[in-house]
Amino acid sequence: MRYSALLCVLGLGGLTLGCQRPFSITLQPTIEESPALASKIVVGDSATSKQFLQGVYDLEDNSFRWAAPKFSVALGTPPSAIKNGAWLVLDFDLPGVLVDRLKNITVAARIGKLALASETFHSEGRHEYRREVPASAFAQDVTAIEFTTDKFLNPPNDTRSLAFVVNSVALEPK
Amino acid sequence: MTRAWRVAYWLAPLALCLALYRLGLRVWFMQDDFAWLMLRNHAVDFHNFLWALFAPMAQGTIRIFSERVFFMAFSYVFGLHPMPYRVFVFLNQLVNVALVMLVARKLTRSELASFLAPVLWLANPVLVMPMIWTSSYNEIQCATFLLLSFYLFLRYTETGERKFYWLQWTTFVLGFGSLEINIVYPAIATWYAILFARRYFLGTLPLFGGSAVFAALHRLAGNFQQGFYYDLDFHPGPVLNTLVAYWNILLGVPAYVSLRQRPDWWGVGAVLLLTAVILGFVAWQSWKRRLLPLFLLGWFVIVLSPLLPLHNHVSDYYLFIPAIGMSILAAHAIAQAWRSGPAPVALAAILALLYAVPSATAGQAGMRYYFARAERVRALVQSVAYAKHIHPGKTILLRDVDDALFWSAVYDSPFHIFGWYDVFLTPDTREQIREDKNLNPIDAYFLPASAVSRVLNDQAAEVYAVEKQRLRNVTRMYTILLNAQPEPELASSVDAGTAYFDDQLGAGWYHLENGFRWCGPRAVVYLHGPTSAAQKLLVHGFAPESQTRLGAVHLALTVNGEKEPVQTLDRANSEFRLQYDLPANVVGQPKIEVTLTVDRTVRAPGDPRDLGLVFGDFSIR
Repeated sequence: MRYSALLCVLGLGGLTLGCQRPFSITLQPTIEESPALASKIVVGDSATSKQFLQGVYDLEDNSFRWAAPKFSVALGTPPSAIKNGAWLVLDFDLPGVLVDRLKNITVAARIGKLALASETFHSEGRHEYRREVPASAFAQDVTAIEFTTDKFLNPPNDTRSLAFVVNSVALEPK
Repeated sequence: MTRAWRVAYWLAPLALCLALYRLGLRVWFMQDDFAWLMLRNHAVDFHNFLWALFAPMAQGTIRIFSERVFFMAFSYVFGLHPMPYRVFVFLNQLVNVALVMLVARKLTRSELASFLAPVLWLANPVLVMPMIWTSSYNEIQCATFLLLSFYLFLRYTETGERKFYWLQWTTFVLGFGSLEINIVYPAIATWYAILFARRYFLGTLPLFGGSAVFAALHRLAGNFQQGFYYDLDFHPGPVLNTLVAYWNILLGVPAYVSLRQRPDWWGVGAVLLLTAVILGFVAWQSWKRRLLPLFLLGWFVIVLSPLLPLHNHVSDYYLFIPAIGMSILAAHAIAQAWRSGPAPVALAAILALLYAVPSATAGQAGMRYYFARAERVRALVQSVAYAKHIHPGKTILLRDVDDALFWSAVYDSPFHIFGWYDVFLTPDTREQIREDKNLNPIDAYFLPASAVSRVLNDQAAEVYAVEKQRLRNVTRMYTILLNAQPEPELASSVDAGTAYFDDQLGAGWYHLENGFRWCGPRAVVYLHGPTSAAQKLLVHGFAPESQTRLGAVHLALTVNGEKEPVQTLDRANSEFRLQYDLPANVVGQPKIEVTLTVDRTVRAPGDPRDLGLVFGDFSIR
C-alpha cells in the first residue's frame, strides 16, 4: 500500500516534469520575399501581385483587376535608374460604360514628393500612361508609387469605387 | 444467422461510422482545442499540475477524463500531431456504436432494431461536431459512460445480480469526469424502472444522491462565468423555444433545406410530418401498454432538459446523447412495421429515408466544412511555426486574416502554446473581423499601428499575409505602405510589460522585466484620447508584498493635469484593476498624458531603484 502511494506520487511528479516538454509541430514553409522586387507587375501574376500595396481590388475572372481612384504599388528600382532615371508605365483599360458615364478621366502619379504630370483619357479601350522619372526620384532599391484619378464610378449594389481596369505597372530602364 | 452474417451484422455499423466520418480522422485542431492543449504548459510544478487537472475552467467545468487528462496526456506524447487524438476519439465512438447496438437489443429484443439504431444515429448531423472537433470529445466519452451505466442497469434488472448494480455505480461516478450531463443518468434509470422494472425502482434513488453530491461539489468549486451565451432562462416560453430549436436540428431536414437552399416549407413540412408520426407512434404504443417508445422519448427529454434553459447557446452537438434515445425509438418503430406487413414497411422505409438522406447529406457537408476550416487553421499555425523558425526572436505580424480564420484559430491563441506571445494581427486586419460584444474584447490580438511602425522600422518583425493555405512574407511591401502613410496615431491601449510601447512611456519608468515594469514615485504614460465620453481608463497592475507590508499605498493619477480619485492599495501580492472616468475635454485628443504618483517607494536589497508599483496595461475602452 505504501509502495503504491509512493509510486502514485512519483508518477504524478514525473508527469509534472513531463509537462514541461516542448510541443512538437510539423512546419509548413512560408513564401518568403525574393531579395529583389520585380520592376513590373502584371495583373494575374501571383508572384508579383503582392506588390500592389493598396487600392487595387481582387482579381476577377482570373484576368482583370479594378483600381480605386487612389492606389499604390511598390516596384523594384531598375539598376540603371539611380543613374539614368526610368520610364514609369501604367497600362490600363477604360471600359465603355465608364467613358459613357464619366466622359474622360485624368490619371496622375507621385513618387515620394515628386508629382508626375497628369494626362486625360477620353476614349474607351487600352491606354498607356507613360512618364519620365528623373534619377533623383530613386533613392532605394524599392520605389513606392501612388496613382490617382480625378473621377470614378460607384456602381449600384457595389461598395467599391472604380477608376479603371489595371493591366500592368512598370518601371522601364531608359 | 451464420457466423459470417453475424460478423457483418456487428461490423456494418462500425464501418458506416468510419465511412461517414472518415474526415474526422485527419482533421486538425481548432478553436477551444488550443486552450486545452495549452493546459500542459501551466503544469510547471506539482501544485500547478493538480490545478490543471482539477481547477474549474470554461464555465466552471471540471471534465477530468475527457479534457484534462486526455489533452495533457496526448499533447505530452504527440504534441500538435492530431492523428493519434483522432484515432482515440474514433475508437471510443466505435465502442459507443457497439453499446447502442447492445442497449437497443436489450430494450427492443429485435436484431433489426439493434442494427438500425446506430445507423440512424450515425446519419444524424448532430454527430458532426463531436466527430470532427477534438474539444467536443467529451460528448463521445460521456455517451460511453452513460450507455455503459444503463446497459449494466439493464443487466441488473435482468439477472438481479448486485455486481451489475455496483458496476453501474462505478461507471456512473466515472462519467462525471467526462461531462456534467452525466447528472441525468439517475433519471433515465428511474424512468426505466418505473415503466418496466418496478422492483428496482428504489435501487435507482441513491443514484440521485450521486448526482446531488456532484452538483454540490460543482457549485462549491465555483468559477461560473455566465455571460450572454450561458445565460439561464427557466421561463416556459424560452425553454419551449429552445426545445423546438433542438427538435428541428434533431430531425435533420431543416439543415438540409438550408444547405441546398430549398424552400423553407420543405423543412417545415418534413418536421411536422415526422413529429406527427413519432408522437403518434408513441401515443399509440402507450395506449397499447407498450411503453418502450415512451421511455425512449423520455430519454431524449431527460438528457436534453438541463440544456433547455441555455436559450442563447443552442448547439447541435448537445443532441449527441439525446439523439441515441430517438434513434432507438425510430429503429424500434421500423422493426414493429417489419412485423406488420408490406404497407407499414413501405411507409416506415419512406419516413426513414425522409429523415436519413437529408440528415446524412447535411452531415457530410458539415464534415467537409469543418475539415476545410481546420485545414486553414493548420496552415496558419504550421506556417507561423516555420516563420518563427526562420526568423527567431522576431515578432510575427499577420494580415488578411479573415473573420472565419480569426475565430477558428487566432482567438484561442494557438501561438501561446509555444510560448510565442509576439504573434499579432496588423491593425488593418481588424476591419475584416466581426467582433462579438458578448465575448472578451479582441484588442489584444492586434498590434496598434504605432507599435507596428516601431517594430518594422527596427527590423524586429516580419509581416505575413494569409494567401489561401499559405503565408506570404510581405514585410518589405508592408513597411513601404506604412511609411507612405501619415504618422500613426498613438495607441489607446498600452502594455507597459512589453517593448512595443516604449515610445508611449514617458519619464519615471524602469526597464522592462518579465512581462511587467516597475514605476518610480512618478511615471507618465501617453495614450490616444477616448473616442467617446463613455469610455473609461482601465489600469492593470500589481501591488507587491514588499510595498504593502509597510501599510497601504496610495496611487494618485492625473489625466492632462486633471486629478482623478486617489486609490488605496493594501492587499499584498494582489493584482489591481482600476477604472477611471475621463475628463470630457480629452475626447478625441490625439495625445493625452496620464501621470501616476505613488505616495511611497521601497528599495529591494542590492537594488538602488526607488520602486513604486508594478504595471501592465493602460487602456481606454
